[in-house]
Amino acid sequence: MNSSKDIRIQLDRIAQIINRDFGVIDERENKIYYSGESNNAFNTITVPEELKNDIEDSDFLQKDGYSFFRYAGSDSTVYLYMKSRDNTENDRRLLELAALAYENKEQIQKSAVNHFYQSLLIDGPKSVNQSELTQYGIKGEHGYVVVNIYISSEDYISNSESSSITVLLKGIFSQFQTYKIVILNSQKYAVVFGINEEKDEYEQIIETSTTIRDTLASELMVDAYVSVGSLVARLTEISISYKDAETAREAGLVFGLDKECYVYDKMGIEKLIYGLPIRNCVSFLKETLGVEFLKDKNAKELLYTVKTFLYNNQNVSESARALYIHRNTLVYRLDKFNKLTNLDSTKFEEGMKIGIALMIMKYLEKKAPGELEFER
Amino acid sequence: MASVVFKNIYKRYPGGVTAVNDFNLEVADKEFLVLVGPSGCGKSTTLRMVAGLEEVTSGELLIDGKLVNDIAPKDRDIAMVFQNYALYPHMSVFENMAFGLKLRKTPKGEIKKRVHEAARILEIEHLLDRSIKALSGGQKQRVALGRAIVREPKVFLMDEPLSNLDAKLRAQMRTEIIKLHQKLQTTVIYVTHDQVEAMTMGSRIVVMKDGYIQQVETPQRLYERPVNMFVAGFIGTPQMNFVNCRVEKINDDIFLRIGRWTIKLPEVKAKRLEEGGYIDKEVVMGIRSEHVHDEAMYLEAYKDSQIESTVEVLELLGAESLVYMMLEGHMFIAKIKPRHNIYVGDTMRFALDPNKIHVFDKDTENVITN
Ligand SMILES: Nc1ncnc2c1ncn2[C@@H]1O[C@H](COP(=O)(O)OP(=O)(O)O)[C@@H](O)[C@H]1O
Ligand SMILES: [Mg+2]
Repeated sequence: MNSSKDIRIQLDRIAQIINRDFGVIDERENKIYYSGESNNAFNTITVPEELKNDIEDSDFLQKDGYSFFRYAGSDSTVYLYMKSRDNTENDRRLLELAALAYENKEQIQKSAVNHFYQSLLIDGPKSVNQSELTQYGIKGEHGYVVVNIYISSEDYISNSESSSITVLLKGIFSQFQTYKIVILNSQKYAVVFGINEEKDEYEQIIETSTTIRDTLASELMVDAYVSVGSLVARLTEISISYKDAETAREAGLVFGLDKECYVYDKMGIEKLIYGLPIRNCVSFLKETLGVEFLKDKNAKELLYTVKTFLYNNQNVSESARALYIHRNTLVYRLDKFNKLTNLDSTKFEEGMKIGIALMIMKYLEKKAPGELEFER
Repeated sequence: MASVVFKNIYKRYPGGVTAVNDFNLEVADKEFLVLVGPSGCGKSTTLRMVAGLEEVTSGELLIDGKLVNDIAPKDRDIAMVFQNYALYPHMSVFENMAFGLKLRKTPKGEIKKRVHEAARILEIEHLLDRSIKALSGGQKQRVALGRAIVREPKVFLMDEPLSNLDAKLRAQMRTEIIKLHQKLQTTVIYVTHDQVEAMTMGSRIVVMKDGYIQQVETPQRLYERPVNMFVAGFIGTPQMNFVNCRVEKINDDIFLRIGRWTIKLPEVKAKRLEEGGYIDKEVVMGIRSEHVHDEAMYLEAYKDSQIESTVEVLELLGAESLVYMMLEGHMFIAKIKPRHNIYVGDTMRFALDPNKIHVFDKDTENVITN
């Protein structure tokens, strides 16, 4: 049985009050609970397909001597069943009452679990105790990783319940076995994954995470930023993974990386530049490109041209094609850049300097836009 | 069903990027409009503003005649299909399509009706009870479309929905989406970076670059009458040949001089160049590879517009061959009927169809004559 001790005690009491053995099964066919010393036939009951299938409008069904009731809670569905005895209406009422009592207790437990993970993610391992860790912790034999979801649509945050987002995340991640969805506030959600398969699970989590943004947009019409933290070994270290996910998102937004999902472990050189002192950055720009160039009103266009040239392996034809300009125009612009900066983009070392300068400029544009105003 | 009108729309992101500049466009009711342009040109931003996922910085956006700048996305009567959609692996096809409606607390009977109707249109009624995991790529794509259809929106917004599919499935789904549009009779705005996709799907195409609209036209007119070198080069494969040349007037005729070759222009084009004051100036000639001919018939017909060059690369594509050459320092490609007797290193003579020559201003890159 998958239920916690608290819930089991509650359900045992319900069984006493309604004076009948009953069981609870979740959406994925896990037996959450069955009461008393029920016989084997009772324990091996499965939910009839007719009831599971949402196409049917009724939430109650009697079959093969058992009564079944489907209960749609705020973010998940459970099935309750017992031996049929009384008239249909009575059986239905009893199961519905049992469902309500179960849901109530489960909500209390859920908020305790949520609180535990919230503390662990934001305040770190010192904020939780050992017994909570044993009780609420998830298993991750090959480590843990945190996925952050940041909702940026303001009208949505103020007008809707968080449950639709958790329901949707559950749907998206339903192929994974071990994870917890944590509500941090109405704008921020985190999913903590325990990694237990040796192969590819981490990659699959990243891959699935890249679908969250588009799915949230098409199903709930909200805009979100998704980021994936680093892989950590222990559950007590998930605050590190969480912080890395935050960094990945912030840096991703600054550098305009692939918008679907920002992955800390795949950020590349941006990871180094992000967090550099502003002073050093400005100094480097002045040194490499020169103040004269930075003042030039064509600087932006020239830099973009040079960037494209570098990204196309310094191949003139391909760069011209990528820029949709004539190759002569390209050669002219590269030449002009060379004259203004004294940097030759066809040389490796100078090309590298230009590349870093470009990233630093992008960083400053977001972090300290005032610093880039070299005029006056 | 609804029109979508953009009036002087701008989008500036915090940090300074102006992603969309003075965007003006009227998308008619029931139209299938394609936005195309290279990555980063502002297509997604434009679409996301229509959806309400991004705020409009300035300008007016109207859906069905109503100003929607301040209307929440869910109240705009639109549905979106994106590239990176997820289906819910543990649910049936029915549940996948019903999911969004359920989240919005749509009554059960209504959900059932809409899902069955969408499934009928998509011809996947027989799959409704199947698990998602058991579906083929094309069937999954249809379920994703179904999810949008059940919303019964006035406008469909599609942002590169086929980009994650392999080439064969992509081609098949293009046709499916066109058919779907005909069945649904709804306004569609479709975004792609792929000009082939744009040309095969759009009844009208908007070409964008750097946040600016370059041209709005039907596919054919876009191909035949590009307004500038960007559009000319972006639309069509292989890319249009561009060659720098000089305009010369000899007696009463106007020629384009490319090294030792001269190309005589037809009267209408000649007139444009003369009126524009381009005599003795440098311009850029553009010609598509299929208008560069090696057959005797054309060599006979276009005696005054011929060039010669050495074959550098030969690409055999089956129904046609591409001949790559250098012409006055520019790569130049001819698309010809396949022949066996051409080899790399051969010198070949070509006739350029003078009626198909485009001439562009060298500085502004705008077209002078098409
Ligand atoms: N959230 C954002 N913040 C800052 N800049 C952005 C954001 N989203 C997009 N951009 C920038 O806006 C421009 C247009 O992007 P986008 O609309 O995604 O282009 P496309 O869909 O044509 O590839 C790009 O320069 C991109 O970097
Ligand atoms: Mg895009």
